[in-house]
Amino acid sequence: MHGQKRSEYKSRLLNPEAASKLATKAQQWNALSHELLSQRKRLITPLNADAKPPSPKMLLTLTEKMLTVNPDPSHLWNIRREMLLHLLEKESSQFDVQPELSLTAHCLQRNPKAYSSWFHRKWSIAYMLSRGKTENQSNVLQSELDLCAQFLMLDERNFHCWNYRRFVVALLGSMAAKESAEINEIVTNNTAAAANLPSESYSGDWSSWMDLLSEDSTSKEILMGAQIVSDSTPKNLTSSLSKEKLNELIVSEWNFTSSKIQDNFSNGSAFHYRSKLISIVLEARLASDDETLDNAARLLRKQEKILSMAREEWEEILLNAIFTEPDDQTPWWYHRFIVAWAKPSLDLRDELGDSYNELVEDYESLLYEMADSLRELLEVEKENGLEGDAAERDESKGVKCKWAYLGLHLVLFSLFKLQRVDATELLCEAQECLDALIAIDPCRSERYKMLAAELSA
Amino acid sequence: MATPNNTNTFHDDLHATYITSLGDKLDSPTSYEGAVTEHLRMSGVYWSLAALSLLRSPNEVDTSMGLTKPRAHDERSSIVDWVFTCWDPKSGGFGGNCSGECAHDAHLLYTLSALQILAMADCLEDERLDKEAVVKFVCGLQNEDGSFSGDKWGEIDTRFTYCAFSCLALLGKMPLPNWDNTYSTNNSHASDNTIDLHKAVKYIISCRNSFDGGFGAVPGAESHAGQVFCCIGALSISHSLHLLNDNPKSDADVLSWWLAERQCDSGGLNGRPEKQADVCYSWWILSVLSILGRVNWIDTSKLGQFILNCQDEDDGGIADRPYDMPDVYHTFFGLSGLSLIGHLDEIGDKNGRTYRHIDPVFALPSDVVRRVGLNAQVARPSGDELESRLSMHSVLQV
Repeated sequence: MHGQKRSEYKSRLLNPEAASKLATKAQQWNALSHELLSQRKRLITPLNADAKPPSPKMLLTLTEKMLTVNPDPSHLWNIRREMLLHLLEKESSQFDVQPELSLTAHCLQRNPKAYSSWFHRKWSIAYMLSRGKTENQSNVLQSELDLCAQFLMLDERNFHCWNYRRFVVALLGSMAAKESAEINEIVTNNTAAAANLPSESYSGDWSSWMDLLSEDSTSKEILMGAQIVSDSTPKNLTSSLSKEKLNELIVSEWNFTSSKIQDNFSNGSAFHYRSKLISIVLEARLASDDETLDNAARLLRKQEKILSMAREEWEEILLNAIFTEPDDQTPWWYHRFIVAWAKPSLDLRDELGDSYNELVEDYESLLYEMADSLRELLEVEKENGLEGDAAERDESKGVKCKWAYLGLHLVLFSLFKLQRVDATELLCEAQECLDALIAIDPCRSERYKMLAAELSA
Repeated sequence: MATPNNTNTFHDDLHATYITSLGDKLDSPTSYEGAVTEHLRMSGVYWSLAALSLLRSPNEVDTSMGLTKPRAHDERSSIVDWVFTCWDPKSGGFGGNCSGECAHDAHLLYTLSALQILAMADCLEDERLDKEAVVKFVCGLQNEDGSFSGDKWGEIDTRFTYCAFSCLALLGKMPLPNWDNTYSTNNSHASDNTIDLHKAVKYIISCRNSFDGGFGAVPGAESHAGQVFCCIGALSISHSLHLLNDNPKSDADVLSWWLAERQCDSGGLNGRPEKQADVCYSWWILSVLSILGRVNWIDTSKLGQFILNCQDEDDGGIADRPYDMPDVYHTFFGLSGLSLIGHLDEIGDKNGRTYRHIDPVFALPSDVVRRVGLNAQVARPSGDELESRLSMHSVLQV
């Protein structure tokens, strides 16, 4: 059992008082479980017409009682949704999202990693948007971002919460894009349908409103997909008015990742989100450009912006992170991303002519700066001594200096692949990095030998 | 932190006893653990059977677990009979349990566990199994974008794509890409008993992250070793592994390397950078490294030692970490890890037993995989390019 100490668990079972408490809880649970399922059966298929059918409200209360104890069983949430829909149909009332938000918040505090609690929250929000009250929707969504921020304070790596955050951002994005007129149209279209499921526009899919920012196909790579199923065709969203709102939203998400990374350089989840956002932020920054530029000028402008953003990431975030905590692998993976992202694509060569060479020179000088800093880092680390106190180190940290060597190897190999200078020295130094890695990290020597073979090929 | 007392002893008998006595414990009306895990009993039974299958022969598993016939002096029905009471004829899928003759709601997770149990029991041809209805259930959960929902309520996750593919393979209904690349993308599932394979595979690829080569639960999600298994397993079942090399920035070896970097100083594997090691990743990661032919990229002897350190030396079972309380999930994944790195074979050589092997794609004993006739794509360890190492090949293009 995750994180349960064996000795504590067993002594609990041996303690008669604790054991009998658990036994009572088990019996209560089993009784409730049986009660709930048989009531539900009676509601769906009444035994005889005269008998009074169970009350859906009572079943709702029962699910709440059970889920607060154990939020994992998805069939309990299913019954809850069935009852909510049943009541909405019978009483033609409006869907009130608040009780669902409170219940799931409570359950998530108990177990922040329960798939079914997060899913019920998504379902409720999506249902609210497609069927519920139309006012205050964006306020509700804004407060969902606050809830995410709170949960990420408790556990900054909770991927359920990060996924939920992207889901909410996608919804806010589509709302910004739609404006109220279109929202009303969709709500009207859907109220007639008996479907349980919300419309495509509320599925947490970033793709439709991303088109607003750019028609460029490269942005397709960074789309966030639907997180909940949908049953109607997507609407084409066109509204120049919302561009500003979208930009605001994107910038605020970008700043959120910055602050999470400043709190802790080891936040791989925030770095990951940043790697997805960076291309969207790029589009947003380019959006204010003069639209009279021709295609080649726009491509050049974009690649220049990519290089300047990559430099910003290197100088303002990565350098600080790797000098502070050189043995934490988290920022190093993002470094790999930045090195690959900044590289001017060969496709640009024909379009841009001489300007292409300037771009490559710019990229090359960024790589040389990286190499210099990494050499410096290795010197500093070697002076501090390679032998850290092993007992004080976290088990997930690798051998000292390993990631600096890997980073330097990556930068040197990337320079080599540009084929602009005599490669002998680059290759020689890259090989030295691999030799050092084979010596200090023999576990993964097979990988390093393969990289060495790439150098000599 | 105290250093675990490194043990080399493998507690074969204790583990077998731990697994075979688990059902009685959990079924007791006063078991708290039984109560809070009743909803996923189908998966629990699958983990138990698969774990014991690595230690014992099919016959021994059958008698000691009451798989196809009730155990002597046991009032409960056989496991196979119970599995059929968890089938929901309305939807065509299996639930995680049944309460008073009433199957719990059907879900892809439990439908796969149920089929895996039936496969181990050699009961996939049982007349009570309405294959057509189960296939319809699975195919009906595919969405327009190729993804799969876990059930009718619509949660989307790449875990469910793996479940769907594996279910269809077990039922002999997994479509494979055509060699001549004519597989239709317009193949609608709505009224059909098949899936749109092209879209399903395309969806998996859309969940890939370029800088680590890994996969998340949905497009845009962070890479996670468990999710990597689901995506690579699904690509393997659908003979589409060569698509891993379509992205020049991130070939299959970047993924294998990212997985190799999950190994911590303790020898154990974690699921994401800078997280604690946990025995379950012995399965999620080793299975993928086995499929991609890169098991030798980690230190297998250190990993084997870590798993042995997580054994409960008094009562059997394997925990997530040394000194923690064991459970059947980690017991199965720990044993599978020992199997995939060949440690079970070595232990067997010493204690005179022959252990069965786990299949890295289907998570079933390899003899069961052969008997059912399942096949999937895997890469040989030697050679350079992934394409030349694939032992089966297809030309499906995304």
